[in-house]
Amino acid sequence: MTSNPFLSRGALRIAALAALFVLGARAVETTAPWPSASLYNLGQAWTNQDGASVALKSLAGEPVIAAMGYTACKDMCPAIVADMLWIDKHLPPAAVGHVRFAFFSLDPDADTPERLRLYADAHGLDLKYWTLLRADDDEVRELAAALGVGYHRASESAIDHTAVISLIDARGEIVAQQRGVQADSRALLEKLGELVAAPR
Amino acid sequence: MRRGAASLAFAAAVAFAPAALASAAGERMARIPAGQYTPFLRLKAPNEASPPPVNAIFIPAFRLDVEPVTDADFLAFVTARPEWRRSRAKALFVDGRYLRRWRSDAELPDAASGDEPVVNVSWFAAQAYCRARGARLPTTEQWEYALADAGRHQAEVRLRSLNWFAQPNGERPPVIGREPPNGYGVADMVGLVWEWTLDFDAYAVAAESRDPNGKDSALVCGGAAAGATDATDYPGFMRFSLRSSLKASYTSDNLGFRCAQEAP
Repeated sequence: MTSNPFLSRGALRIAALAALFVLGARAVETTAPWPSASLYNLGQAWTNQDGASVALKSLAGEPVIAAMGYTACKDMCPAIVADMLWIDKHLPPAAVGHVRFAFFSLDPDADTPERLRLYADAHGLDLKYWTLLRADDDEVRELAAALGVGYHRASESAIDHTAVISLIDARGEIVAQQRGVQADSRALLEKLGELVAAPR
Repeated sequence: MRRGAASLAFAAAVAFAPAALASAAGERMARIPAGQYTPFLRLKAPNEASPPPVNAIFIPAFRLDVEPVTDADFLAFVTARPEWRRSRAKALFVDGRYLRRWRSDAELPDAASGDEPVVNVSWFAAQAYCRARGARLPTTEQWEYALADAGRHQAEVRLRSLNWFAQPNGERPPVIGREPPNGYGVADMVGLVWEWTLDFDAYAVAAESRDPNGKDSALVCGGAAAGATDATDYPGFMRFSLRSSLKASYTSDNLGFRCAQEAP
């Protein structure tokens, strides 16, 4: 042990800490078919507008247009949804019916499944292709980090956040992002066109 | 030898009771009492000529690690959670410099590095470490509130920050525990490493959120002085601008973290 004084001093402490971490470990995904950078490496489950539990990775298989916001948000989020609807209306022909739209809530407290469904109705979102989702704080924080959405609660009713619309491929990798609202979506649509044209 | 340490860790995992360990880890946290905190940044709403007056916000009591998490602490974590070893961590969670100074997956640079703050860790890795301890990263407000130390010795803290900025980065961060803790019992918040916060990227964008046209940000460089509570707080600017430049999978040679927890 003398060749490594740190370990002789610190081994017990490391052992004790390691024990703590092992005991706290959650079940780890045993199958990992996803690319290393895939969002589907997040072993998350969210709840949709119908109250059903939805594994994040169940979005895999087709491209997804994803954004984060919250239903009580007055100007930013309706603008994000409007941008997503614009994309929906301007899909390349080959992509029609083969793209999913996902709106993830930043506000676990207020955004119940009922609220999400009302929001979908109010914005005329076709739930055949659209999914609105909520989860607890930890999941929200983690997904926001993965999507590059910065946010913090500015007051009881307001959450400051960035507008980011992400194009995610069938295996969960982010292939394009547009930042800010009323941004030009043509680059994103072009990428989407490439995705649906590529052999699957 | 190092394999020996790992198997000792494994044996410990089986033998130790979780409650005892939780309290042992908890001993290294300080309880930060509730209080008022005046945010460093104030935001100007669109269509308003000037930012609103700054209202102090209430920070409930919480617990914060006395020191940044060390290399030794993090070695224990990756020993118990192999998915966070350098060779296995997913590109979603860490960039190519993750734990780059370590000699291998479970080998620190050398004997002396155990007491250095762990660096080259991403937000995801830092948060996973804290979660494994039943904690999480502190919010930016909590971190800044702890540094503000109820106003104690702030001129000295700023000077220490400025001296630190003025020095070139060393090959490796200084070891923890050289400075006495502040009035809250928290040490080494400046002078060793920059630290991740839970909502590190929340502030650069706050104004954008309120102004969809993004023309009125109080936080972009030119407008920052107008948006700061105290325009002379240069270290404060540095911290906020550094944080807002980060991405969650990013790692760097002088970026570490400490954990926080709700106060019991």
